[in-house]
Amino acid sequence: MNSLSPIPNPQSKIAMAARKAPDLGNYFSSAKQSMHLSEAETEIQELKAEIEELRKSGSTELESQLTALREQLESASGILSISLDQIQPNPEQPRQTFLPESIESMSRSLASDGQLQPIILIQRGELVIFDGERRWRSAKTMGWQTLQAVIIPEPASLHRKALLTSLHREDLNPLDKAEAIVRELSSNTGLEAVTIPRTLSTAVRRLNAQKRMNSVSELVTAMPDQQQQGLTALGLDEKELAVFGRLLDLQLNPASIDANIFPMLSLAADLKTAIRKLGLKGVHATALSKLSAKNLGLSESEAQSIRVNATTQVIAEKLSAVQTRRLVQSIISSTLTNSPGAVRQFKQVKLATGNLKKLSPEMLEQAEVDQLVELQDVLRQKLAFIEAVLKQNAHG
Amino acid sequence: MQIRLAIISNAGGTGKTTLSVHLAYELGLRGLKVAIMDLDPQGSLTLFCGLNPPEPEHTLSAIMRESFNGSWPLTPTWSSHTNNVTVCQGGMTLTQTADELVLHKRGAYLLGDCLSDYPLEHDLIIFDCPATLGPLPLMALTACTHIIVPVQLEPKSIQGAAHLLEWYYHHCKQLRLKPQPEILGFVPNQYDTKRAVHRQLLESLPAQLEQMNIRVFPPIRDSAEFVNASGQGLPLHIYRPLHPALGDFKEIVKHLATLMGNEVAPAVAKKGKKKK
Repeated sequence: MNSLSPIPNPQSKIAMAARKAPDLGNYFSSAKQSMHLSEAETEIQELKAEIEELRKSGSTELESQLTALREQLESASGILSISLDQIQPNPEQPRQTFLPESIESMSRSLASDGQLQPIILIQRGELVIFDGERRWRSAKTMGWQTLQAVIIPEPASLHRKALLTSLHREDLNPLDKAEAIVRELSSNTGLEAVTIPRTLSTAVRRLNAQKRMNSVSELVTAMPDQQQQGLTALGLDEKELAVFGRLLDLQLNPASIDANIFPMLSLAADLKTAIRKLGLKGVHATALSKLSAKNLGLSESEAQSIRVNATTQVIAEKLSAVQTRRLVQSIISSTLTNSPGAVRQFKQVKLATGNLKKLSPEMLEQAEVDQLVELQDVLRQKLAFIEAVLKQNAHG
Repeated sequence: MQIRLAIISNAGGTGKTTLSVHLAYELGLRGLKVAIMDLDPQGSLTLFCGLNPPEPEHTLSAIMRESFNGSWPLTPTWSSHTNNVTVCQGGMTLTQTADELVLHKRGAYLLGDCLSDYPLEHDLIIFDCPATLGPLPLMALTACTHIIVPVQLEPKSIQGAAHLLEWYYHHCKQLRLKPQPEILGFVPNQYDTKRAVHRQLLESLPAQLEQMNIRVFPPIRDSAEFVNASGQGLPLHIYRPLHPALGDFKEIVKHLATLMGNEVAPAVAKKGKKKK
């Protein structure tokens, strides 16, 4: 072989493809993706199921949530014995009133069984009650020195959590509920507290007219993103959207809040006091609110005294809602018959007047002769009678 | 617990029927009762088990009929050596069955339904599936508890297997299979150590599948004797009892046996008539 001019190796002319192993990563990338998707979905289904359970079982689950929290805190920093005067009530505690009976029964329970569960306090400069105000008040009335407690660092939204536990756990009176909800909505949405009930009722009225309120009730138990979607489809303005959204967030039905809870805010002061201090129920209060100056044809103070008497009777005799309504009705009718300047409006008369106004000249021209004759007769009859009554009223 | 094992791959010639037959025989040796069901219109199980071509009423198609009353068309096989393996044969009638399945309201679930309504006492049911991912393997998917995927160590076969996995995830989700059948693992088949591509793929495959928590069993080696044995309608165990390839099944068999709570070492096959 001539080493000066090397003969090219014939085989080198054939470009030999490098012997590389095929890249399996590419083959399996889709399959991997599918697998991860599938796993994520399984987890989501499980979480959904858990959350559905929590929402459905409402208070029991929240109770067990609280239990879980307590247990966590116990294991974290143990149960402590805290002196009662170091404990501050939660200034934003939704339940503003603790009825004496409620405190009494708790006192009895504490006396006989002792403190069964530690209360939950938050370290916030001072120690503020997160859960357990009823026990604290009871302990104080009984002259206890200390209570068992567990302590947590300040949670992000104290009021909201306290609200949630109260709203769904106990019979918060509807007035306190209304005020708490308005306060919560106001702080959350930045809307003026006073405007919130009106914003809600306007929207509810409109949706009712459009027959779309049903879809709102369904959203109460839906997942947050479904709620979002459902709400945007309803054509609400920005403020209304914020209010509805917050209510759904608190697991409250906007229709129910509008019908039963917010009306509490516009009750007369005496009725509000009765709800707070005397345990008057929301339904009864609504019935009693019909005893207004307008309906009774009396002055405000006269109406109020009638109302207060009626309220006292309702509470003392433990009247049912139906009985209360009947009482209110009878008071109204007897007051009206007795009062000289009563404005008695009979719906029929008003309706008839309205209908007569609707009879346009064209209609009359095109009507059958028989019909017109009959109408004329009736009108003449009624006209004669009306003149007689008016003459009588003028003299009577 | 009854195990229902689907042998599925997304390519022909990957060794599904071979694997079915050999797993069935070995587990039968351990005293477990095994039924192999042929879901393949090709019906090669009939050949591999040395059985006669079945009457249409005596195939898996029969159980899909309204008239099925629970008497499963099962034929014992290799009876000279074992009492524990029976076969529900397949065949061309399955093509028609596949078409009908598509129209039936519970098409995908029919096989599982039959097994629910008329349970079999066997410890293990093996579904030997056809090569393509159609209505027949889908029926196996909904009826099985476990899956084994035989693959050849070649790009085409592995790609097919990757698509099979996608098919699996998709249908488990769509058909809401609860519990989801578990993929026991991939079985590299017809492994030829002399081929570089086989070696390379065997090396890189486990890492890929591990990312999906899928194991790779030790490979079954390539051997002409498998082909010869099948031609005789026999598992290699009977045809060539001392063949080294038989050891390749050990892992899988052990795994399956453990699943069925059977830890006993395999019995010695009873000596039957001299083989032909």
